[in-house]
Amino acid sequence: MSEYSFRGTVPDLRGEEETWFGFCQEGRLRIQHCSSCDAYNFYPGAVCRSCTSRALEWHTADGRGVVHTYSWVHRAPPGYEGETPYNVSIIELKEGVRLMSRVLCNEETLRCDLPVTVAFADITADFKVPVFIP
Amino acid sequence: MKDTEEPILGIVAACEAPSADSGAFTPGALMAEASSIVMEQAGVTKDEVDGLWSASAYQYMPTLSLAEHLGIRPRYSDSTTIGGSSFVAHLRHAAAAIKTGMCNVGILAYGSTQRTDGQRTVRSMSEPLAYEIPYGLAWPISGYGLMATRHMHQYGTKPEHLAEIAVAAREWAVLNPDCAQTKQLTIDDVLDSPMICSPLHRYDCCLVTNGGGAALVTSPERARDLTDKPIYVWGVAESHRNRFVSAMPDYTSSPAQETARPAMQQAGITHDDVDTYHLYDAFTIAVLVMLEDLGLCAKGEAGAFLEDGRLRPGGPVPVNTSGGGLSYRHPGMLGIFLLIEAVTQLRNEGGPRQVSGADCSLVHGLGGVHMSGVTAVLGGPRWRI
Repeated sequence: MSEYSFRGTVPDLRGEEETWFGFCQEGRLRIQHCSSCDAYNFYPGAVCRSCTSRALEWHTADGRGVVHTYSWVHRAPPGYEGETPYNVSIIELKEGVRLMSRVLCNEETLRCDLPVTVAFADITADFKVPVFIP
Repeated sequence: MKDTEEPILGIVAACEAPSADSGAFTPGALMAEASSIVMEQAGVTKDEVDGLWSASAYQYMPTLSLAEHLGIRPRYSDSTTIGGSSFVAHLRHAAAAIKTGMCNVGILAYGSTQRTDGQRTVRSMSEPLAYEIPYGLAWPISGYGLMATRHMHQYGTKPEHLAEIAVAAREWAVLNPDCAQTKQLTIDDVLDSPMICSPLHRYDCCLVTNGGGAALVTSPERARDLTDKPIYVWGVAESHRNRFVSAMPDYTSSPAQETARPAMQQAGITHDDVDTYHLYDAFTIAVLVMLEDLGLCAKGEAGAFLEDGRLRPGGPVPVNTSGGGLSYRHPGMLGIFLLIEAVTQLRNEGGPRQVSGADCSLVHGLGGVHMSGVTAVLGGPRWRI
């Protein structure tokens, strides 16, 4: 079990989604690096979004980044009703790519450009997702 | 800047489905109802309609559903779906198809019972991304919340600026006799309304309504033969940037940056020529970003641009004269309704909300969270003709 947890929906996974969430279960935040043009890519795929090369390799991210933007959800979609308010945040990793996540902090602390570090939170006993800690 | 000699498409008729609010019809039946009326207004029988355009979250193959309701076997069928902007893009696709002789008379149609559906609201528009699902994104509101937070951070935009857009929309809505919203809003009403996804309050968000609409299109020459009040399409440009919220390249701008200039260049106009604006107002922040990206003000300066109430009735930049999605009607996809209101204004049929002498309208549709964008320039019956 992780130190952190929150209630959420577990997605059905296929292909590269399964691979990537598999890394998460091991506590690793990985992004794809293109050995052709040197760009980093997230979310994962078969082709580099910068140069369309297929020469993508997994790279373990540094894990540090900043909050690019965020929104506190007060009216929740189905399955999240009891959790409000919670934040949906866009994190910009040190490598330059962005991903959606949750920052585990209160409303007063969260702001754009806040430095954060990755952690992993349990959604179920056997499903972890990346979250970020100020 | 080149002055285009000829419009690219003619709109003969455009109207809403009158039964939409009653809940008496399904989405498919509503688009057929509106289609039947535009055919009647145009004096065209279904045998002459050989092109169909639609997009929907209700039908997997929307032009097939539309054709079936109307008993039409088209020879040109296009269900291009790039979100709520689709119907504005369809103008351009129809222009290409008609210009090259692939069809002669087309119908664009949409129907939705989003209000009646309540909790059964169609969710296929929100086809989810595995990397986003666990975090509880409220589609699409959270996406616009992310845009508003970043815009405020980067440019000092204030909640009051967003609220002004909702207040202006309501002032227009009150002038629309078909509109259910009859009470003026104040900035404080907006700011005091419940927070939905910060920094967006309830009144920063569009209504959830039923709706249906259709437009009948043909070549400019044919349109001239069919009606005394043809509306002409002078320029259209379309683009899209991304599919998912977490893949937005810029949370403070939109594809209008790619589409406004080419559409206006094709039409040979500047903002000085535009009499009414019909901007996809799913959320106040959507409009604020558009004002900048369409070039009405510099990037980051929409807040100051809004401060003197210039979008309101009587102001120099009339936006969403029907009351728009914020205060009149928003049934899932708004694109066809932007076109219908532009046609209403250009035909001088706006009644109490008519902008005097309107003969050039700019329409901008968006899809998703400013993921796709389409700009169109429409002209009235005698403008440049």
